[in-house]
Amino acid sequence: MTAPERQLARVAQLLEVNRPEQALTEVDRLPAPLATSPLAFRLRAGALTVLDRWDDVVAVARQGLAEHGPDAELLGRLGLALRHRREHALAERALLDALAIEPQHPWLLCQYADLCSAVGQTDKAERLVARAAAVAPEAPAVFAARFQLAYARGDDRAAERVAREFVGAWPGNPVALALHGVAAAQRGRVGTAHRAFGQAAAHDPTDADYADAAWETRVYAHPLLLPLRPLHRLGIFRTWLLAVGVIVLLTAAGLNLLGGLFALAWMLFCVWSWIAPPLVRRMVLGRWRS
Amino acid sequence: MADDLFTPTIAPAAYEARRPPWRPQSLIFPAVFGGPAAVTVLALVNGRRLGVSRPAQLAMLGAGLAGLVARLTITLAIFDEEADRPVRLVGALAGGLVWLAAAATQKRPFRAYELRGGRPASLWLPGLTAVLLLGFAETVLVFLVAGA
Repeated sequence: MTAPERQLARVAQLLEVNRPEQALTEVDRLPAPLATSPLAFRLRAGALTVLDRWDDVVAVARQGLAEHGPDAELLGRLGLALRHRREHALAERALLDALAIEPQHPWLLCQYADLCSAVGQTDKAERLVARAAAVAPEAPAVFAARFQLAYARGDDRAAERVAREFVGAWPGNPVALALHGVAAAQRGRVGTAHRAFGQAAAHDPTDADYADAAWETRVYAHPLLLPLRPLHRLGIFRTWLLAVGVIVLLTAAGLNLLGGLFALAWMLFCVWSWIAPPLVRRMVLGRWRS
Repeated sequence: MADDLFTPTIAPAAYEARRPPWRPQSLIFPAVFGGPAAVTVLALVNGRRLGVSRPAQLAMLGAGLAGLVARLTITLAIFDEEADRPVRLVGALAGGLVWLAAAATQKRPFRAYELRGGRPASLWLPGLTAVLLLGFAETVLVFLVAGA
């Protein structure tokens, strides 16, 4: 291995241990012919993806494609970045070009599935995920795509199941832990969600989103919002039906005073559920709405 | 069948930025406090912002009108003998049922909107306005019909 090749391998290693900023500086320090090699473009685009710098990913991927012609990985990164820039049709074009080169690539199939989930084409997304899962059932991208599909369908139970499988297969994966947190929050398990986001932030301290989510769930774990736990667990409508049922039953049984008191308590609870979360959020986060 | 997987299905202009929608789940508050009219108007506006299909919007409108009529009929008919009609409770119940239609037609479009990186708008001011204006107008309507 020559010295420059060793440098490239070092960059790849830095990316593997989640040091994207360092990988970027190392790539920029490569000597001239190597710095514009296909592999250098891939590594640069990969590092920028980890950093969520989507505009830069688009620029780097397009430059690499212009210099070296079609490349499945660069096209895939381009599609992912364009999706984040909400240029959905262009993202689809890039991903289809990538899949034309590597039609069985699980990561590419999952990227396209995520794009379809995000525009509400869930049936197509399901077929894409199934194809990716047939190739690599245990790949993190497949779990993540299955989660997003279930989420887009509004099927919170399925999403929770996928998240649990994901954590089971990849116990230390911050994405798995964060999705587990999202699923728990959707199902009203505030404590579990808070712990999961905390663990995700601990496994990947550089990702601001996990830390934000952990803060956000801190709001809902606040003691002032303790009375609202049943509301989150049952869902608003079911809690509300239950309350109306109790009021009607009490009144029908002739316990008018008790029924009235319960109705009053229920009214206060409703108002509390409306005004308390923004107040606690302000107390905990020190600002209105993140 | 499998090969339409690799043909483009996303139209360029279909997901352009509109005004941010409200969380459909939150519409239950104006539904319970304001009644069918408030939640229907808010849900129709929200459906537009989410780009919900025309049949779904019409279904929403139908559910809203049905909820309003049901509220009037039940208030007048079933509780006719009682001196103290539970006007508010029936209104809240009708609003809640109309909200079910909003949740059914808007949950998935809203989830997709979230996956596209969108954030919900605040329902505070529009919700309160709808409860006060439309809720009040509806109550007046109920009493006008009851008095007639």
